[in-house]
Amino acid sequence: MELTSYHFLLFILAVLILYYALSRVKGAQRYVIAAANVALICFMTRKTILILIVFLVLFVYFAGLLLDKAVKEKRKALSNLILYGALFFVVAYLCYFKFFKWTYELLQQTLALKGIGLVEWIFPIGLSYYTLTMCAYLLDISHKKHEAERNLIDFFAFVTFFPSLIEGPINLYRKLMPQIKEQHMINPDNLSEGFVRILWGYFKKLVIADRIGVLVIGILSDETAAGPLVFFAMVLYSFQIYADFSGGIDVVMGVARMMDIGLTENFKAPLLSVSVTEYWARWHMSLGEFMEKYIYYPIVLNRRIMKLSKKIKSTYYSKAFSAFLASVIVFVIVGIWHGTGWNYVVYGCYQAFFVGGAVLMGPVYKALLQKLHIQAKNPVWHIFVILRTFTVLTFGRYFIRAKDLTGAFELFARTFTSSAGKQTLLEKGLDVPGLIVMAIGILILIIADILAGNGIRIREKVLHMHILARFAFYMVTIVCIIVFGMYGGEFTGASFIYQGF
Amino acid sequence: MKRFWLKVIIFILLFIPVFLYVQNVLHYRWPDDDTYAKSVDFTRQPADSVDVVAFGTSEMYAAYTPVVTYEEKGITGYNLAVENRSAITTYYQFQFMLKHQKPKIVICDFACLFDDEYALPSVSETIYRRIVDGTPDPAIRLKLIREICRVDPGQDPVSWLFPVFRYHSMWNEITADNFKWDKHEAITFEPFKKGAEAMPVHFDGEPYEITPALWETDRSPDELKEFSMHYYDMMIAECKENGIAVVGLLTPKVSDAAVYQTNYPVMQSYFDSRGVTGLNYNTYEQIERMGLSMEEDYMDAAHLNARGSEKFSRALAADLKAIFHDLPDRREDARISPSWDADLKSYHDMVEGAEAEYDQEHR
Amino acid sequence: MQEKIMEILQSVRPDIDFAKEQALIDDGLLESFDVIQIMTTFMDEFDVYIDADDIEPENLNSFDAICAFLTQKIGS
Repeated sequence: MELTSYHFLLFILAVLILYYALSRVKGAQRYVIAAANVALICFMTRKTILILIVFLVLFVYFAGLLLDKAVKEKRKALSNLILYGALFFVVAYLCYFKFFKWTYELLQQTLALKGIGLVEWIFPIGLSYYTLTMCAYLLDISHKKHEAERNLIDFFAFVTFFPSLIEGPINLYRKLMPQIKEQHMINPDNLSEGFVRILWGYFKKLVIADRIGVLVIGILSDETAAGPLVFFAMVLYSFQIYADFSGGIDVVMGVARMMDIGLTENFKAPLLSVSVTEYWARWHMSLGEFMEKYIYYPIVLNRRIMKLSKKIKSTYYSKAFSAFLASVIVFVIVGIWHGTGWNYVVYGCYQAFFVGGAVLMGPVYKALLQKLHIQAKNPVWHIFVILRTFTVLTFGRYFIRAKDLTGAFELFARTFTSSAGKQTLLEKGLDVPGLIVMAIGILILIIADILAGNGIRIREKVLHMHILARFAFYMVTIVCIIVFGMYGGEFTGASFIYQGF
Repeated sequence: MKRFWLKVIIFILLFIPVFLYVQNVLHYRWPDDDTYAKSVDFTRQPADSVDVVAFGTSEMYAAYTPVVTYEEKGITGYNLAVENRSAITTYYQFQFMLKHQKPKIVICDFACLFDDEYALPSVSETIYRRIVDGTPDPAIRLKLIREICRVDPGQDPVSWLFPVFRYHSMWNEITADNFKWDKHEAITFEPFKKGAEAMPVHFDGEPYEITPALWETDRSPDELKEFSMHYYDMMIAECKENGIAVVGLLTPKVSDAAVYQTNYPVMQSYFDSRGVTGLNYNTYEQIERMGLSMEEDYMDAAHLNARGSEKFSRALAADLKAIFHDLPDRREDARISPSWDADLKSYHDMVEGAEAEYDQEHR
Repeated sequence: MQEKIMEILQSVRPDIDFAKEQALIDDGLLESFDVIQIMTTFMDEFDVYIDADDIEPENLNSFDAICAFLTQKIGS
């Protein structure tokens, strides 16, 4: 079952109906959520994965209770032991499934020789997201931010909250749990807001992202494509990733909104970022929030590190040193979190270079701008930094588009060495009308970000339109998704006629 | 809250015609749009007026012209054969036919006997779409869709029930025609043909002489495939239940002379085991008997043109009458002979008109 | 003390109107490095220890919140 399948839509409909049918039964909705979590895991993966996930949830649940008791009894050594032991287990769990697939495959091969077949390896759905949620949960208990959750159903419903299983956002206990515990009555505003958001999400994914994807693959798989064309493909890839990820998030947020639950926003007009640092405050914000709270600040404000940085004479650089160190660590982790392989490590280091560099070069940069009489608010300068940031980030994406580090270097090589070669966009999987639709889609993405950056939320405007205008808007959007969505296999009259007789 | 649900319902009601309109615009206009038109035309045939119904693929579609068998021996019939082939769609076409007529004979070319899962919708989508789009009977359509999704689990039932989900990517190919309401019945459909192709054209390309050498081969026969046999068997069984005789017929498909030289005996044994009468017109003797020449009587090496179809249909009429003595002579049936006579005249007018046009162009 | 606090804030981010803004963290007006600079300066100036636990929106969203937070820190 995929996010863009009828099955998913039917699943959501069923969950919503049950959820609100039981809205007057006190405490029932948490069971609906928990059941939906289980159902989604089973539909999208397998029952064995469900067992693995439930096991991890139970582990963290009990660890949380023990930790809470130790903290309340002020037994520092014990609480540290439980905390670090539990964190280690959770992180190790994640790392095993991320990095040690080869051990399973080895086992599979060995047993196959003996005639025993093992099922195919599947990564437990959502593992990368809720392991972070679990770490945050345990850390918050140890820092006395909140108590451990006593209700197991509530905890399960929260930790594996089904909308977030697919691609986040990373939920935090203090923000999500109170909403899980509430009773939610059906409300037309929630349903409408959620619906509009879901429409926008599907539009981005099916019409924009998947269409760009065809062209990107078409260009990159063409060995004769010229360097500038390869770079252009990566620019398109940046838009594709944005449309795909934010589209999926919009669907998921819309579903949660329809359930009267608000999740953390993940995007804030990232196309408008003026620096790599700012980008990471606009892109995948729930991940940034986690990193900031649980890694960045703890490192910077760590006593030992602050003592170390006091040794630096300059007031700016004594502060900047720890920030620099923390940034580097954060982004290397961010890189690794995104995937297995050295290319992801390099990806993280690439981001760390720019963010850390910005910290170190802060005063130098400011002085340079003053010397050149460049005002930050200057519109030309503003556009320049946006394009500069976009370009830097696009090069960063070379490391995650390629399958591994070698592939990334090949991509770079192709970009900078083959200046001869084909430059055309045609015959790369999209015809001229398709290219036009793609261009319009990218334009829509950009305009939406510009408007959002200026405080104009199209969704809100739509919801306040006159009802007939709203209906027309919905119909046009739905028709656009049906007509222009990239699903169901290409159809042309010609291919039909020439099929086997 | 009630006002909200009212709005939702009104929205859905308003959206349905919009959706149907979009589905009409983005619907594949089958080039000849024959299948739907002739299915509807078939339902318009008076009760008990059709004695022979033919199923099969394009060779059958081209070969059998019912008005000629009527002219020859008073045998009425209808040609429900279509381009492309599938045993599954043949079976469901047969089911559709049964709802409207109880012919004496069903003719089928059993073209799929040697096809297996290769014939599934995922590979040969055209035939399935053609029949699903071309069946005016919702109940039969649903049954066919269900069967398609049953044998080919990768198929998406929604795209079959609502074709727009399959054809939507044709948005960049639409013309002004797409915006007209698709009545599905092609203006070019000619009811007097009784479903036959009967194309008054001349051979396309370089014709070659038909000699016995074409049947010489050392290839080994193909195997019968359970997958398709399953559907043919069902059709044969239901014919038996309804007292309908089944004829397995090979048209004079010269391009596959060698193939059928080895395969027909296999088909013959299949026919014998099922009580099906076998008629093999794909032999040199038969072609000589019918006086067929590729240049005159064929469109291409596989399909007869109108003139060839006439010759074939006369031979078929004689052979059917010889085997099934009590086939009624419908020229004596005052209820239907007037309209069949009129159709026969229209047919001859069409053929003569086409000949005249051709002679003018090639003078 | 309040003037000192305002002075420190303005020195890190002269472009923000700290008297007016009520959602310095929630609206992302203060970047994480800004927060670090402010906190470390507070630690130097007021001889308090601030750690990561204290970095919460409710402590930093407005000038008043910051003052209240610092007052409480100094007191304890």
